[in-house]
Amino acid sequence: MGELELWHRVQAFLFHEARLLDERRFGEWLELYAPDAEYWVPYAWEQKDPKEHVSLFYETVTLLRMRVDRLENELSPLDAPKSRVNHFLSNLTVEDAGGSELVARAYLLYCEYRREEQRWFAGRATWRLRAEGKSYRIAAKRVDLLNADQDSGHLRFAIPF
Amino acid sequence: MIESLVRGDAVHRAAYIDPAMFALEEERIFRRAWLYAAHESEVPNAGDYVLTRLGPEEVILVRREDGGLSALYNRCAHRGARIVSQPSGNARQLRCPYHSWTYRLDGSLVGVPLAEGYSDTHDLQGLSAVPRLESYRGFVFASHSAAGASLADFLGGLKSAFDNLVDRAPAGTVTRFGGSLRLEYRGNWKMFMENAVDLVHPNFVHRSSVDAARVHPEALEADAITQQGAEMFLANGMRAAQWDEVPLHAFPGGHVYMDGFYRQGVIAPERDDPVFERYRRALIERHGADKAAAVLAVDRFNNLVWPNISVNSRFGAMRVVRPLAVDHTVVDVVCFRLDGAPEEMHQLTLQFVNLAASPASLVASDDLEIFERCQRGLASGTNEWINMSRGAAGEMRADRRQADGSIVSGGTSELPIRHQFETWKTWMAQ
Repeated sequence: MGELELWHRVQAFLFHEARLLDERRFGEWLELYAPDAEYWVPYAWEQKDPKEHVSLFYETVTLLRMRVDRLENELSPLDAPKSRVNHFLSNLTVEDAGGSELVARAYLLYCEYRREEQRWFAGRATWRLRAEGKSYRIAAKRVDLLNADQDSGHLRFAIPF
Repeated sequence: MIESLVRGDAVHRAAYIDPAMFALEEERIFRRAWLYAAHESEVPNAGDYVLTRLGPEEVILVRREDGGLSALYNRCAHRGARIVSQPSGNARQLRCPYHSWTYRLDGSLVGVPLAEGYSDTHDLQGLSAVPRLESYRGFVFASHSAAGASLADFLGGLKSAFDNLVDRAPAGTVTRFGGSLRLEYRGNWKMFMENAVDLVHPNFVHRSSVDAARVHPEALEADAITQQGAEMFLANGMRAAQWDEVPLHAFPGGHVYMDGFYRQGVIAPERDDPVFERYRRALIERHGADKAAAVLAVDRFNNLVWPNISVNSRFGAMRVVRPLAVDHTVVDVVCFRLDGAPEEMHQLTLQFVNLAASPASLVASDDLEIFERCQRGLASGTNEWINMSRGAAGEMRADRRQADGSIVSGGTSELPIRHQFETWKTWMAQ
């Protein structure tokens, strides 16, 4: 597969992930993840290790499932009224990570509207992708928010990055 | 006037929404009480400093060359510029970036460029120091008031929260680790302190995460982090009768603690896994078997030190509530490592904070949303009074006065809110 085709295929996959989140198709979203995947949003800039420092969240797929089930059971005050979200991805690069794995990096803009307020978060997203047939499974996803440190604080949101 | 805002079973909404009331709180509570500044382990060496917020003031806590600590207001004596802007660091001297006035670590003035031009060079000031500074077992507090009770007397019955946290460390000390998280909400600071010991709300406010955990029983057999999350979420779903079995203890001075309610699996108070066994042996080595057993037997959840701290000794986590305005509050969440304990123990602390206290967690996010709804709702003047009567009278009332001066009630009582407001009234009235 040529470089351009690979890049295009990864981009289509990541756009698909973003769309599933934006359309609240959480069950399908989690199917993109390997059962042993790790999902990490650090709470420090250039955080080295989720086991040395607190995180905004650091979750397994089962915990992510609870996170989205909680939105689907419609009992969370945080998600009433429901948040509307757009994930924007850009500046995508794809690297071979050896084995059947790739590392994709992109800039992420997350726009959320709820309760008369529109908020923007910007960050850098990194995925470790495992080739599976013609598509991929996400083995790890990390999102580094530009404001991921103690000066911010207003980092409440219903829908994951 | 202030007295009339607090009745036995109700409080006037002005206490939460009136900016004049907030200004009075700053003057009479936050400029007088002992406020938590930082932990000694954050400034181990000469020149180490941290920026902290004590009520309305930003303060530099710095370790001097003589080993003592200074708490200095972060405001240049000249034109008022903020001297330090990094959250922490090390400095030999404190230098203002504006006209380069330079200060020693005790705040005294070293030198001033072009000093001869000022009208009275003998009268140039150093940095102002916070009048009182004291440590209790490594926890550093300061007070903007030169007069008042000692720190130990102020902490009173809740010294035990710090004692238990430090006694849990096999090496006899705890160390701040893991950075900190900050919560922010558009609501009054008191809501956080009330909610932390309100045991009726979890079953409603946290219902979404309770139910999400209930439909995933496989989580209880999964890896340690998943198990911990599931156990924590499930625990919030106890029935009212079970919550009522979690006693609340109110102490003179406005302090309150609640007993523990995490009983299962990896979050149980004592466990028989190899890591916990190693930990228990280390603790016995330090304290002897009897005291080690007594230390581990203390099972409390939130320990509230009035006016603005919540300590969870068993998980090594602490939350410091910092009021910014009548309707704007931040809460800093910090972690402590038990020196001498197995490294794996500290993962419980970090994950406890990630899973329940992070602003993006499935638990705290719902609490913060509720505080904002209360703040917005209270703008309505349809009823000037806020009910805090649950457990104050009638069939539920079974408060027991203890020999140590505390009052114990059932878990679903609003005793803590009434108790906090009695203390609030005392400080605010004079």
